[in-house]
Amino acid sequence: MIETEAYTAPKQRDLERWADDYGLTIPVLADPNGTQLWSYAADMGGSVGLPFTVILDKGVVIDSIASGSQESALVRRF
Amino acid sequence: MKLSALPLGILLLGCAGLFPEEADTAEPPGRPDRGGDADTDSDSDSDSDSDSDSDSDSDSDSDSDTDTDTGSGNDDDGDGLTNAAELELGTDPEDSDSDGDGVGDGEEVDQHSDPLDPDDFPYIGGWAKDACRDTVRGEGYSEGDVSTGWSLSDQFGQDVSLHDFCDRTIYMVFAAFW
Repeated sequence: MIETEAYTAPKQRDLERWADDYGLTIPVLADPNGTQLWSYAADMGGSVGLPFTVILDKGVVIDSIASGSQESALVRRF
Repeated sequence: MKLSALPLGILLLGCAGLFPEEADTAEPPGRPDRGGDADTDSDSDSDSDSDSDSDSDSDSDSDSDTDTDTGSGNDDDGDGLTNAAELELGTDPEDSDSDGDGVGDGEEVDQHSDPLDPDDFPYIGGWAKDACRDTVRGEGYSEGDVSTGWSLSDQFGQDVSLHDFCDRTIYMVFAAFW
């Protein structure tokens, strides 16, 4: 999570609430200010849509990066 | 989601379903269960055998409890799933953690993981740290690069490092709570 509904950096309680609200049973991480997001999006010319998806293989090699609505096509590939 | 098999912290122990059976078998060492012979009477507690009427009643009660425990509507292992549901799912009605992954069968069903797959269980913190993480060398953030490593805090307040997930396919989504 990069930002809360109040446009603030997420804290642990925000992550807990999000995981509870959506029934998420995967790691939910705080990326304050989108530091990691913007690192992965650096090649996209400053335009980023959410959700922003990154798929990495078992060697932690970045296989695919998708911005916004491209995500669904990316997921279908897998 | 597939996670590695870890000795995770949640262990749902059987409660209501187990205790009646334990009570039946919890005879002191060397004592027959319910033989009813003279030796047993003399060795046993005064509550259980010396008062013939009331004790025989309570014995029959415990027998009926045992019968009820094996009924399909009950939850013998106390994992939150009825015996009937467990039979339908293929899990063991007498084992609260059928796949032995440290998360009870009922919890796995609630969290949409497979109670029969030891490699599939809900994330509850304490992520596995594979040895491969020590050999991963980050290169950058572009497609084709070994991703630069980073560490972020999760919903349990624990730091999770990307390279700890090596040897798994990683699906990562950045989102906002709007």
